[in-house]
Amino acid sequence: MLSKIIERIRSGSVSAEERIKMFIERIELDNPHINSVLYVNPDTVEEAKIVDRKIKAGKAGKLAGLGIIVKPNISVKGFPVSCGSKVLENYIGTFDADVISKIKKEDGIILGMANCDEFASGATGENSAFGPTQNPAAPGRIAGGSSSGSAASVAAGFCDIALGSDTGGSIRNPASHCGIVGLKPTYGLVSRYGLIDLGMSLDTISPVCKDVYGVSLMMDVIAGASENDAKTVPNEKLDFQDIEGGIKGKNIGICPVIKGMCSDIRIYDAIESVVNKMKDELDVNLVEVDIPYIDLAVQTYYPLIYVEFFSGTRKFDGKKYGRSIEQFCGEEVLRRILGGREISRAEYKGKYYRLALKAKRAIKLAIERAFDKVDFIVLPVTPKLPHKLGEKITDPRVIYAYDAFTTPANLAGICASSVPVATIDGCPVGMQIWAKSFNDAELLRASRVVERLVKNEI
Amino acid sequence: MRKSQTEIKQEAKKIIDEFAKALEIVKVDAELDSETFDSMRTPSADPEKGLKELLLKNFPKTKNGEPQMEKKGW
Repeated sequence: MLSKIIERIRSGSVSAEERIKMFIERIELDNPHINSVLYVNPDTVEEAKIVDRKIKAGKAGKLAGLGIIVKPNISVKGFPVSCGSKVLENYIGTFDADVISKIKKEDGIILGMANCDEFASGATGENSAFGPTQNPAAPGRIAGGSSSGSAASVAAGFCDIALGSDTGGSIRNPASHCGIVGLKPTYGLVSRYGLIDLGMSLDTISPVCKDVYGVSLMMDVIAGASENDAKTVPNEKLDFQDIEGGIKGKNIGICPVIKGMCSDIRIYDAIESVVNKMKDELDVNLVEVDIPYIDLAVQTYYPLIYVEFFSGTRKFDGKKYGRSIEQFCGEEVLRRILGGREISRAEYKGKYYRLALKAKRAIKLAIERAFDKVDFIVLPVTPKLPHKLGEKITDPRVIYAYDAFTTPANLAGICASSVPVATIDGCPVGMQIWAKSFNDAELLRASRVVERLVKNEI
Repeated sequence: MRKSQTEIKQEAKKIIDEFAKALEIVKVDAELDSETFDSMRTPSADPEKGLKELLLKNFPKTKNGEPQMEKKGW
């Protein structure tokens, strides 16, 4: 557990320098195969030495000595912020994103930048201009995406915690495929300042770690209001440090329609088995909930993303940042741009975008109504296992289907986690847990209970 | 090797047409106001509270319904 590692660093039995050197050695050894890290900070060891001095002086922050890897759509001053694209291949961050400033203030050490699907457009990790990311937990399979490098780096032991972003499932999907814990915070809880947007009405900066403790620790650092992001709100009432509080007496929602949406029924069965264990071994109530239109989340999400992405990428015209995006991007990015342009045309007003906004509203209302009856809703993260790397999938809708269970949480703006609960055919499978907006701390407590339950610690 | 722009555009059009057709069945209780429904402000907060008074306070003084020029005020 990360808490034990922190204790060892604080007690001096392991120095920050030793830990960071260990990560760098692992990256040098394994990254050529896994390809989850695009850039390693050459000053990391020197930064670790400074942190060690702070630890000895008793002045170290919450993340002292921990190695952090960052998705390359989050700005880090002096680091390449490529978005996994040739378009921004040579772009160097000119400022620290709010989350990076907060991490540095707490003495977290930014080890480097991760690989990812180009401009966070993908669910597999195969869309990066710098090559696909291997899944360390299921060799030969995709790592998931779009935060492929962030999740794979944690799973491979290249860092303690990684940051990614989640707009439609981009942290929960790779967390599930790589067998680690991921959290999509409530929209508005973490500042997006410094995040290169995919869809600004849905984007969230999100942490991944091997355990719930690490995710909670990172949330404790990065959550909260920022004058740089008008959508953020204060988090004084959220206690991310108390994750052992349990969920006694809580109502757990299950949505029966999800079963029919699982293309691999073994995934649903695995989740159902954990849910039954929760019922048997924890003092919780299972409640069936109806969420109308949940089966239309993908059809709702993509038109919205196409439009917002088209709008957000107009700045990449090759004049100020990098190269012209239409000229140098990959197929999925171009598909979203051209689709967004098509939707944005005046003659289609009301036909696509307003229709999708209406559906978004309907799904949001349906989820809010479900939460009138329950405290949490549990479901799988993806409807199928990660496919094999290199498997030729020509229909984009087959890839979009990975997002079927993750996009509803983004459309509703609620918080959602992914906790590893099973292994099928050698592939980790995550359970997704949803909670109401700004109940992120409670969500992590529930995630911790599931983590302990699966490890038979309860 | 990337597909041609025309081919990708046709794919995108096919997808959004198909998705739009699927969404035609969606009904919501109230007519949608796309500008406000996503607001992160708390439901109890009234963003327009005091706005009218504030606007009137800042509005130039009038005489017989006509705005008066302010002299030496600025």
